[in-house]
Amino acid sequence: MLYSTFQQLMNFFTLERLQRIILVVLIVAAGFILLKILSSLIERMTRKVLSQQYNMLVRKAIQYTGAVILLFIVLSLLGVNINALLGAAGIVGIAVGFASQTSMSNLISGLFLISEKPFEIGDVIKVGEHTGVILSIDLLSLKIKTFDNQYIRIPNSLLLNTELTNVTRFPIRRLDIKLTVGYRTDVNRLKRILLEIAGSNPYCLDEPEPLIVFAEFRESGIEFLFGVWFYRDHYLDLKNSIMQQIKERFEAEGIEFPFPHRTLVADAATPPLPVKQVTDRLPAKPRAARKSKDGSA
Amino acid sequence: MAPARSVGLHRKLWEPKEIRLETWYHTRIGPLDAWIKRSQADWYLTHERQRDREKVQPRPVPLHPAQSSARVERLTWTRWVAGEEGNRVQFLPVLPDRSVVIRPRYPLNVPRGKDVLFFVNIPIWVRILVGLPETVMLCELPTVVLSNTWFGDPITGELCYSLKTRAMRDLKAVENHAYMATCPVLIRNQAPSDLDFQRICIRVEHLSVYQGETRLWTNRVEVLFRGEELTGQITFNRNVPGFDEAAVPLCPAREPVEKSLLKRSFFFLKSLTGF
Repeated sequence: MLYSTFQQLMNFFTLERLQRIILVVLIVAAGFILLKILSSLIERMTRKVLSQQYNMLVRKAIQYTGAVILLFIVLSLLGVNINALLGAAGIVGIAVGFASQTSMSNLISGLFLISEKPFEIGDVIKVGEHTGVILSIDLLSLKIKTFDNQYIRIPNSLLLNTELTNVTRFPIRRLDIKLTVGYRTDVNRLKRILLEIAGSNPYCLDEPEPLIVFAEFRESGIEFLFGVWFYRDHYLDLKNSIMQQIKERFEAEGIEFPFPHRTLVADAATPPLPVKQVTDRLPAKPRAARKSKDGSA
Repeated sequence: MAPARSVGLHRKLWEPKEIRLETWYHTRIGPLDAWIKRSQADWYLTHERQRDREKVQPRPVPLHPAQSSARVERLTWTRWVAGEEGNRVQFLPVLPDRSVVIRPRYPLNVPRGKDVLFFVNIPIWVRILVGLPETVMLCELPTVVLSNTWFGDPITGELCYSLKTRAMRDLKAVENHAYMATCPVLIRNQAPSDLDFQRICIRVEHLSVYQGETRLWTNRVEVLFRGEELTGQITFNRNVPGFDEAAVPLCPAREPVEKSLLKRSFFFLKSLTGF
């Protein structure tokens, strides 16, 4: 049994066939090396001219086209009828096309995204609940790394249909801080203090000037919007430092962050009901009164 | 004007010094206190900055062995691996690494056809060099941490430092501090209208620092204004500033001015001058 199989193999691998197989292996190896050299050469040549996405597109186009050409060379060397194969490929293509609608949708979306250029590698984007740095923009998907070091793959078709925020597109941004202060706070003094805080923080840009908006009369206090501009790389430095500065300065200046509270009034004509703080310890009951009540002592 | 006694100290600040092994050396340049030590294998450096301007000691202290290491012990040190470079240390004044937007406390009005020269004091950075004959730069420390500002529109502008100062016309009125370099700025208004400017961006990366008789100087900056709609021209004078005969070059510009700078400058000159 084993001998007959060996005999069959020996008969199959004739000298001519062996030569052809070795030729195919050599052509495949040389072809892939050539493709690698060609794509890296073109990448090097176009690096300064094209963006990273276009560079990737050109590289992939070279690699895929080269691979297809190699395949045809190999098939013709092996004696496969290419014309018949191309005819069959048409039918297979339709079948594969139906089966891979999602992939095609992602691929076309990828091409649109590359041409539209809403982001670049290294940008920080926000898609749905995810915020992260773009690692790669591929034909089918976008890969991002979140700030807690998770790797997320987002299909291109989803990106095309979803609202996307490019956080670092522009070099400067504004940090909006909502502050609620008590009704007794002197508004002009508060504005002066906020401007001083912004002026003393090195990460806060002097220009554009900080924004202070008297936003709303709230239930417990007055709400202000304090907007400070910063360079995009300084987000965390600014946020941490300015929040701490606001808290410390407000405490030093006696400006309160009000807790929710109610003012109780009996009716429109009377002043608010006086409220008195009661200590935990109950006052001792007068002895005489107790005596008289139970009548025993 | 600085007292005669501290004039020598100003010069001594920037002189190279051989230091002993395993000994902390201290220097004070305006609000900046810096300590440096060389061990057999490493260089150690630490610093502290006085944030309250009122408390800044006006008298500079050149590099000297520190009396006590108690203050150093509570600070965070930075360590560099030492090579064969020897024990020589030199502190050099250098201008900030980004352009500085000068915001005069009182806007300056330049009548048409007039030239106005004013002086601004720019806080220097201190470059720490070690070794001889080949010097190694350990780091650069700003004497004053300047606030950031944005110059230009929010998309194409640039990040600069902001400096609120008095643009003094009279040199005698310009404060003299060891941690400041005086920059002479000449504005030539050749526009048909008066020029009222609120701020000016000085590209300090193209300016060198010079040691004068009593103070540090930078090259003179000349701004030619031809009107809001026309491009201006900025020239960085390459020579020693003429206000101090004894001024000698101390530290070259980070980006020395090339011939092409002016040509390149034309497209952004309008935003550069901020008029």
